[in-house]
Amino acid sequence: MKDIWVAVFLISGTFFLLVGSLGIWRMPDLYCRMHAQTKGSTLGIIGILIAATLYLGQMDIAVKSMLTIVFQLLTSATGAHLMSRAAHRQGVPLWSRSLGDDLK
Amino acid sequence: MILLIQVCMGGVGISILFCLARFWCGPSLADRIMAVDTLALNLVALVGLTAMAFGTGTYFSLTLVFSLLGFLGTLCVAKYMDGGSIF
Repeated sequence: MKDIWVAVFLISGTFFLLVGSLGIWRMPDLYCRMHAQTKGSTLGIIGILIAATLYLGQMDIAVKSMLTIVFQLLTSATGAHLMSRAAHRQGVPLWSRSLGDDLK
Repeated sequence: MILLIQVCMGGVGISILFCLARFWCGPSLADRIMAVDTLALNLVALVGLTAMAFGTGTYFSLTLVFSLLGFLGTLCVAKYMDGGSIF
């Protein structure tokens, strides 16, 4: 039973990490890339860390993994927001088919 | 289970290759920094998978370290790009 849950979390985590990195490579625009990276990689990290915690089953690993998950949830959005604001101020162009620019 | 862990390591390796490609040909500085940040996240996942493969939690603190360092790098370069003082 434990192995099934570990496999589910492991496969979903790797899938989301792969989708986030594929979005970094394939998306047309810096802001679209940042969108894909923030959501996908955070979900992938969460899945893989939960899988490692379930598989190893020790208390210190659970605490460290929980700390990493909470920290990642807090800082991923903050870092992406800071970086996209700095890039917009620096004049990184939007995609040609973007619908609007609220910061202008 | 060990076969599944190895397949997931391969998947994380492919996503590291995507990040390196974006780092190589990213048009702007922000693209490259974002690619390095994602590389740090992939390293966190790889440390977790390595802990599962070895069956020990000795290196598990590295996840926290890589996560912190990736965020700190992003923060510093964002402040640097804004033209403000970093500290």
